[in-house]
Amino acid sequence: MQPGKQNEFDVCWEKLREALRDIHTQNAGNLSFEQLYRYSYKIVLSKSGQLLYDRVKEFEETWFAEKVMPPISVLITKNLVSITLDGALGTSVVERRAMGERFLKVVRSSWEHHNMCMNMIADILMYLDRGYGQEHHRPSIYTATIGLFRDNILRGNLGATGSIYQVSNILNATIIDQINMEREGDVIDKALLRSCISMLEGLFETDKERESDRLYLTTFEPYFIQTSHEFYRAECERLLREADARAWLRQTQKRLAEETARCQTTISPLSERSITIVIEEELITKHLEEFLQLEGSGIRAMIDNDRVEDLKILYSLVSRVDDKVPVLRNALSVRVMELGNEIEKNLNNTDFSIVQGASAEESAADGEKTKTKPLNASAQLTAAAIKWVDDVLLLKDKFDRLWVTCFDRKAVIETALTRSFSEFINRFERASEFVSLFIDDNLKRGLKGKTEAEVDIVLDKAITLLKHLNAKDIFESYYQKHLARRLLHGKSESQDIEQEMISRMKRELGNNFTQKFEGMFRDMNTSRETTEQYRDHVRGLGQVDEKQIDLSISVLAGNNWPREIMSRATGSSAEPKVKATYPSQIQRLQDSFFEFYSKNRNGRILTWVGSAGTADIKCYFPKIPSKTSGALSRDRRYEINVSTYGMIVLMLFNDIKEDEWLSFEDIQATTNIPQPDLVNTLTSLSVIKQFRILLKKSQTKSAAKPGDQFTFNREFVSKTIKIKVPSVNAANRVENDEERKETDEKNLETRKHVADSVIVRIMKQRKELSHTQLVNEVIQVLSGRFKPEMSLIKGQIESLISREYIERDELPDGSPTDKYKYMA
Amino acid sequence: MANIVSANQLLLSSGDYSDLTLVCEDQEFQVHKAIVCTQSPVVAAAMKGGYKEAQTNTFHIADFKPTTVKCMLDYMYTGKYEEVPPGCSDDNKGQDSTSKEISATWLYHGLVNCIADYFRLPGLASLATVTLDKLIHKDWSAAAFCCLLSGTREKTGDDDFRVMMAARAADHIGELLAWDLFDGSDPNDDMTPTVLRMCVEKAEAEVARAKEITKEIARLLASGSFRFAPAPKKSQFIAPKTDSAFTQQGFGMGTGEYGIDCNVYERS
Repeated sequence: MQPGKQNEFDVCWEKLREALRDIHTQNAGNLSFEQLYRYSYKIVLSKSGQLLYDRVKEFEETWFAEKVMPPISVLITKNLVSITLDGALGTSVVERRAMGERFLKVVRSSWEHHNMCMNMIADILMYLDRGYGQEHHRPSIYTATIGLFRDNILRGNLGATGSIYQVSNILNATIIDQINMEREGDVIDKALLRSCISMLEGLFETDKERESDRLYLTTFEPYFIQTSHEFYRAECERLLREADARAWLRQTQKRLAEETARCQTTISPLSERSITIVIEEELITKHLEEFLQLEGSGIRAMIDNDRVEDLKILYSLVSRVDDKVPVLRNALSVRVMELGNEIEKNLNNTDFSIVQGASAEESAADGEKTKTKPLNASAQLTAAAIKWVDDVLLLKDKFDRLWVTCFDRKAVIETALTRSFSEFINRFERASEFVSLFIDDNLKRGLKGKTEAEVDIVLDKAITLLKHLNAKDIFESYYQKHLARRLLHGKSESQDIEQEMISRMKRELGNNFTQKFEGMFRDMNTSRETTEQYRDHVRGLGQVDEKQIDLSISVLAGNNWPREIMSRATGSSAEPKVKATYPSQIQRLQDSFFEFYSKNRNGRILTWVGSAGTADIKCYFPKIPSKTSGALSRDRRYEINVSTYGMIVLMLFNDIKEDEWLSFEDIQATTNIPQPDLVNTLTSLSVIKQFRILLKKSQTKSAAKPGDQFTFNREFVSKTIKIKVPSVNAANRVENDEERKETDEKNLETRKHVADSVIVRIMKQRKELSHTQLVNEVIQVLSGRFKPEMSLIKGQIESLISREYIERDELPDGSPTDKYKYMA
Repeated sequence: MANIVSANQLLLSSGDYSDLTLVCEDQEFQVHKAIVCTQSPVVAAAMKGGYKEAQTNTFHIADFKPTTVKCMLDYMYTGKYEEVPPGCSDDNKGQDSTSKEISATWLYHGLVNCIADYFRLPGLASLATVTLDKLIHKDWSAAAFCCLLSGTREKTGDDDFRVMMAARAADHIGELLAWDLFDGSDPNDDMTPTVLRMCVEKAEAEVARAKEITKEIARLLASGSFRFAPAPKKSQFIAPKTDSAFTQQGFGMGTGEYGIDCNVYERS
């Protein structure tokens, strides 16, 4: 360098050096920016930029050593080091906080001062960055000088104080200490912390200033996360010891909010994710199951007491950790199952005490005595069914509500709940029957006076449960039975609602499912028309006389109606075919109708089902001469509605003398009514006081039985003219155990037939299938109706082989394979 | 746009709403921080922090002439500046400008580049460079070039400007050598290496082109389907004016000597 140039540089540098000093001592007010800028401009244009760059750095380093470091060192006392880093105790929180704040304040002010000075200096050296820094790929003068703070202060050696730590260690520890104080509920100077943190954010590991090299990320955050883990681990253990899930939920929620806020106000938003992960791990995941198991405040208590708020928080917490919320899901499933089982248990307990040993007949026989007890056995069972349905729906409502309000309508939770509901509903063996009974009861009387919306709700309930049922075929047969009774006895409240129910089932379960039900409705409608036509026909004959019997007939197509009704008439294989003998007037009527009916329908056979019909009889009770006053002193006429069999029996008494008695056997012989039906009929006419049209010898409350003697009750009195004699049999809607077994067997039989037909249909179409494939297809087809057991399918396959519908495929050597072939 | 430009012009000439004064020698310019500071980071820095300028709202400009400052302000307010310096006649047509006027004009633009570099206005710097380049192309004057060179030395750090200057110097290297420039005698002269490099590049390019042409001629002649015809004067390829210095220096293969164009050949 030329002497002249050197001289010029020295002059300029001297000016700049003075300016730097003035800037540091905050006396820059008199400095001319333009002048200083021009010095650096000249130096750079005269190619002395590097010298200037180095001189400035040198100046700043000296400045740090002499002016900045000492006050900081003074504050780093042994105390501060030992408290913040070595975890020593012995000072009060207040003292500790004050000491930390003093230290942080000095760091902050020296940082802010340095930062300000470096900005000003970088401004006047602007031309240096452009003219020199760019050409030589040196970090900008600002980067270089601001980095000096890191090198000289934060990484400053504390050897003088006998400490192995750097200032940055102490700084981090002090900040954490302050944060922990705040976590414990103290008030701290957030702005102070924020300033120190933003210093760490503004400084980098090297002058390359890579984004990931911020000191905040490299030194502070890891330490912050580590200490937070420790803090929250301890906190969670404490909460677990206190064993209050409510407190735990709220504390966790609060902590999450606090830490999020802290990231915004005190430390950096960069750490928000990391710190929430800490809380999620320590406070939520680690002991989640233990908290849920807690007695009195865990998941069970939350569900049972509808602690909506708790569940909401719980869901919001666990869904943060795992979107599939497995633990919560399982806990909910378990609780649903438990509550479902409880419903069943309650039901069993209630039923057991009342129904025990009381068959329907006995209960009916007790009619007089049990007048005060409003329900007879069958009604009690209906009530049980309704209670069960209500309880199940209540439970479902409850969880649905929780699902909506607390669980954000989460699909995985819905699936889990549905599965648990299905499971406990199907584990209850009477589920199908009860659902049908529930509908039956509602359609018979429950819906009277209800608005359309209310009816809708009831139908919805029924469908909801129906969807959960696995054994839809059993439901179908119960529904068929109940529907048949409603239709034949005219007990249905509303045809519209009946239809609506059917169409809903159709929507949910398909056309096949409701075929029979619709057939029943069709039969009823056709019968109404047929009856009309027959009446017209009779009028046309001009045979009108007073004794004309008005006939209203229901022609039932065999397939659509339940076996119970049909088999009584046609006789099942078990019972020999019995045909009741009708009184001659009635027989004439039957013949006349048959003649009319078969005119248009050749070849059809009509079988009269006496157990399913009713008859209105006009009864004349002559006055009793011995009585002079009261009802008995007058002639009495009543219209009595009895079952068809009842009519047959009563008509016998038209032909006998006063005081003559007919024995059970006589009646049976004359009428040929099947014994069970006869028992029912006679019981209904002779046991209950209000309807005691017949007198039974040996007046007991028990049912009529062979050997009893009956006669016409001349002293029968009733307050109403029209009397409906309840059918004892009709009351027996809930089956007794024997009948149940019978029903089950019948169901099994039906299922076998269904399985047979499905297997044959599949094989006919596929010709050849392996065992597994066949079984899978069968299960798939059947699942709409019931869940088939493996043994059933296997058994039916065997049976079909023996009946030569299908055959086992054989290898050439004659050994069987696992394939089946269809035999045409 | 025109409206904004004229509004800005008015703003500068009237000094209305001015919140900053630029002082250069005895002249004061009433300007607006909103316009000046947003374009020049240098003025912005002066106005930002605790320096004197920020308190007095006055910025002294030393080492530049008011004329140059005016150019800079014109550019800041309107995006362009006067191409002809005050006092020079603006008649490109007709008589040639005097060599003195050429010098003054060139230096005028050179200094605009300097002030642009000083105030960190890259747009203005390149505008001045481009303008100057055109002028040098138009009326070459070695004397004016020397004057420009010494007038801007150590006053600008703009690389584009230096490259342009070096390129023009390389174009006229022979003539300039006669002026004792770029002979390595000035220790502060950092332009010489650039100029030399450009000269070499130019020469190499010429040689390569000559070889290419020779090869082409050989190929065409070997094919035998062409014969040399006297080159018709009109279709002669017009090569850029080459400097005799090249031939003197022994690089001598100016394109003009060949006078070749495809039209030269006729199908036999």
